[in-house]
Amino acid sequence: MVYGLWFMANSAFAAERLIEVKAKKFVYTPNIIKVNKGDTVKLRLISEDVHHGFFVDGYGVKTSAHPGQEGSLQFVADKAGRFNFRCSVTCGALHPYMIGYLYVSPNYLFWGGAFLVIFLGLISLISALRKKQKDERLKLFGIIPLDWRFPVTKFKPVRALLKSRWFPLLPIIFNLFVFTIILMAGFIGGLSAGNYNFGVMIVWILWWVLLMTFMVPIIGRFWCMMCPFPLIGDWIQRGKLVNVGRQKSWGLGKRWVSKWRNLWPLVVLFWVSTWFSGFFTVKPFATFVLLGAIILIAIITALFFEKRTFCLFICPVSGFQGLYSNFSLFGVRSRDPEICKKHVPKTCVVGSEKGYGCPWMELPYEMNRNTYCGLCFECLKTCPYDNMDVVLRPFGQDLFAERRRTDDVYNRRGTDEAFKALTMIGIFLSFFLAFQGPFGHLKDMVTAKTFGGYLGYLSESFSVDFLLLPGLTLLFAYLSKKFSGNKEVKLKQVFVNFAYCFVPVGLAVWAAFSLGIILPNGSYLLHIISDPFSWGWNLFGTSSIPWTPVFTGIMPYLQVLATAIGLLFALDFGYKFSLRTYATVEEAKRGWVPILVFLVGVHIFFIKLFTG
Amino acid sequence: MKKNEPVAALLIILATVGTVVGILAYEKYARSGLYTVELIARSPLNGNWLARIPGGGWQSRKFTVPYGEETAIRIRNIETVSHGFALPDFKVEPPINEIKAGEVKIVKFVADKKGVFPFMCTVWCSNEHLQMNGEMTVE
Amino acid sequence: MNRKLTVILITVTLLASFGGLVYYGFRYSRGFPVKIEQEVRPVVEVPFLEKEIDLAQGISPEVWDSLKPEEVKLMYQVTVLPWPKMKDVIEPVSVKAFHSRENIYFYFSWKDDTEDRMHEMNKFSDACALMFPMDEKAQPHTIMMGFLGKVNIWQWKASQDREYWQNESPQTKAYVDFYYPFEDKELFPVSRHVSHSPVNDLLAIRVGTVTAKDSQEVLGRGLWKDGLWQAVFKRSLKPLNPEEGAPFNAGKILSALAVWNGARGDRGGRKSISDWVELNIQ
Repeated sequence: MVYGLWFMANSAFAAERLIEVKAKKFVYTPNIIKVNKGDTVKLRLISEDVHHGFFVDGYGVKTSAHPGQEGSLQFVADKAGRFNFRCSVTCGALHPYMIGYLYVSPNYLFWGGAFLVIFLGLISLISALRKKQKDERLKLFGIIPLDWRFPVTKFKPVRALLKSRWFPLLPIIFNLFVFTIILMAGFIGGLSAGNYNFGVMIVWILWWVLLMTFMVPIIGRFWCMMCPFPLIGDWIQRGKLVNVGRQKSWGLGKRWVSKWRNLWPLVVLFWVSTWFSGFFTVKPFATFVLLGAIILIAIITALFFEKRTFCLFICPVSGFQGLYSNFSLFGVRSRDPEICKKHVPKTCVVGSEKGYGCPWMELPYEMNRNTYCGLCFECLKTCPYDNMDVVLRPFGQDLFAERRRTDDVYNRRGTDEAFKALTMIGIFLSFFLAFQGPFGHLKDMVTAKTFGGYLGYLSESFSVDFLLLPGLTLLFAYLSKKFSGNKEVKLKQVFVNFAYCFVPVGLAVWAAFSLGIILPNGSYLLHIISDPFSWGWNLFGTSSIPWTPVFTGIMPYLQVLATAIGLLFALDFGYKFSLRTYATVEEAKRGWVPILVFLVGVHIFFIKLFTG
Repeated sequence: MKKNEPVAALLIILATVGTVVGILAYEKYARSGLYTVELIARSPLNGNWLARIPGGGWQSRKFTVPYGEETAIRIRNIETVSHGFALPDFKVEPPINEIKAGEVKIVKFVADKKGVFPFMCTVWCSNEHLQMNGEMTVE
Repeated sequence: MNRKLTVILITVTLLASFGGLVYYGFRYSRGFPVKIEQEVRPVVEVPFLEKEIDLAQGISPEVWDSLKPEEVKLMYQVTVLPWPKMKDVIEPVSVKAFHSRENIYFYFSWKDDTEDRMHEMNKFSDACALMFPMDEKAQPHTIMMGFLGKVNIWQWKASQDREYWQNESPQTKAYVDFYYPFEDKELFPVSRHVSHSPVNDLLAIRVGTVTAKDSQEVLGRGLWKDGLWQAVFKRSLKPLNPEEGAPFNAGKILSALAVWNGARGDRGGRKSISDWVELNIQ
């Protein structure tokens, strides 16, 4: 009888759950709370250091506790799934990332998401197995031909805008204005709360999120187009701001080392810059130092090296934008190759009185990949035949583009881009676990609370980014080669080809990560545009708007959706890569199976990360 | 075409130097006269209370206000944790429970008593919270 | 050659000015250069004296006169509104202590214009208290009455003092004092156990956990004369149960003090408190 009651209380009847949560910088104990749907959760919040809050995503309920005073919260857990609970009172530098997980079982979303991933995998498998022969034309999802393109410069105003010497200078000057405020806010903000600082918020909340959810996947290097950092360097090299000055760079005009004329420097530099993520994403002054150092290096690089060497091989955020913009919808392309063939000298390379030779040292007349195209539109200005276009094309067209090998052309598929794709996944993992995970010790490691912990973070990040992920990919590439039975193809080729599956995947998980940043914290933006320096200003009347997380209930659904879209593209591209890698359809089918299993496995892990 | 260069240079200077100068000027002139004393709230290990006195200059944990006049104190919490402000001997309007990180508050009171009065932080802000206090002189 | 020199010169200038900016920024990263004034912890010497005090006979001023007082600064505990209406700069408390190898004695004296020994509606008793951390976790700085670990609190109350030494029964059984140290809402628990000592011997692990111990080991007595309170605590050097009572081993231990001024409306969390005080037990 007693046993029966106990049993029923645990399953059939909604129970009352009393939970005592201790909060300290920047972790809750317990950091993971598990209840059943329908339970009444009675929560007591105790602070162990400063005033902390407790806000439950999706439920929108909150409480807070001063040290010495308790906060209490009662709600019925009537929504199932995993919800973040997060601090609602600014409590320190890492405040926006003080998070715990509330599990309300059953977790339909996780099982649904995992099922979706497996389902997509099966569909891809079936459609791949039914394939009898190689397609004449590659089609995205079997519908849109991948070589389809539509020149948006067909519209006269668009062409006129892109041919104007004031474009993209005016957006650059606007960003110069914004970055002046950012730098000033970072400098003045010192070590104050990042979430009330214009610099930290605009760069790490708004800019990063726009970059990953809109700019890069849609327009490619849209940011590079309007980035204000190279402006001073350009001016020094060219001697003119708007008009066309020197074609040959003033300064020493040295050439970047041939061995490093690829993405490797950027793979390493971006990884190195993530070492400091625990500082510059939360501390205004660290943001100032980082941005200041980048501007300084940009100028110095322009003094010593030719053209945009900085953008090509040094700027830490250039690498992933370049790689991922191969996925994007837009690209600068020449229209008629015959015209270019006859055109001597090629003004898009050497420049003319209308514009500069490609500052990104590309060969615009034969460019078919976006990695190193900075969208400066100089080639549109210099081409006397108006033979350059900005084209709209299906997602991921450039991922299939091959390029012949010459000494000057570095824009090719290779291990550098493969590693960039894989390290971006690893860096996403570290960022997600540290900034959106419930683990206090990880936050301590990332913010270098102890030197040993910090070294631990660095070595962990190195092993995941450069050993584990590439190792796994290599393993599955090896399996793929074995399965296919093809002995001719090089393992390296298989590895590189399939690593490109992680381009859409990386974009998707970074977009999902960005949602987890912008939806809960976006409301700070309203505050900081009115009061950028925490001086008590109220420029637009929005500075008193409190922290209001939005759509936190549907956030995990959106994250699952983003992951699924990423997988959809990865599966579609992956099979096409397989067809290109192996000689026959039969080989490609067999070789595709291990990669498919790998991708599905990785995505179930992502679903677990976001919802499980 | 020749005019392009100076226009661009002007725009760039406006966007950089102009912005900085504009911001500083706005802060200086729009805010002057709004308050008598500016207080910066910091935890003791980060420097403790700091007061900007009307004549200029900064003083740690001490400030003076004139007797018999309405005094406005502008308190800026420049830290990452909540602080509070109490001046128990005077009726401070509006009463402050908490000054959250990054917040700026202006409080007013009439300095109708002469002497030395304590002011302190009222929110547990760090282990050294109790040392986060100072003295206000009315004369 | 000329250009090379110019380039290097520009580079050096840029690096130096950025370096200068970063240096300046770091110095002003907290708004202004940080100047930390470290407060020195007061040390109360607890010497060995071959003396015992019989509190039934009084507080024995002659024993205490021979000991050097340590002035301890108090702060009004301001965490919840409303602050008391009247509020002066708080008088420091004079603390003295000694032990006789049998018992340990503490002596408090502080200025208070009124003797408040009654506990009635809107009248509150004067009181003072000592707190000893029982837990390593309570260590570094906080005097948050043990919200990070276990503490033993001795609270002497003038009202209980009167009841105990003058054998008067309390007018009221409603106490508001137990809310330690910051009451959120004031509660009036009417069925609290009525102590049979002037000193409440309490345990707490956190706010709202102040509990009377089963064994009330501490005795005390107070004397108000000419605007000065003097209160003495007495306990055997070894606690009955080392889990529940503060141990007084030779060496340095921490303690914190609190004083309630009933006339000002102090009760529960409204009181004056000190930061850690070191006791040097010889």
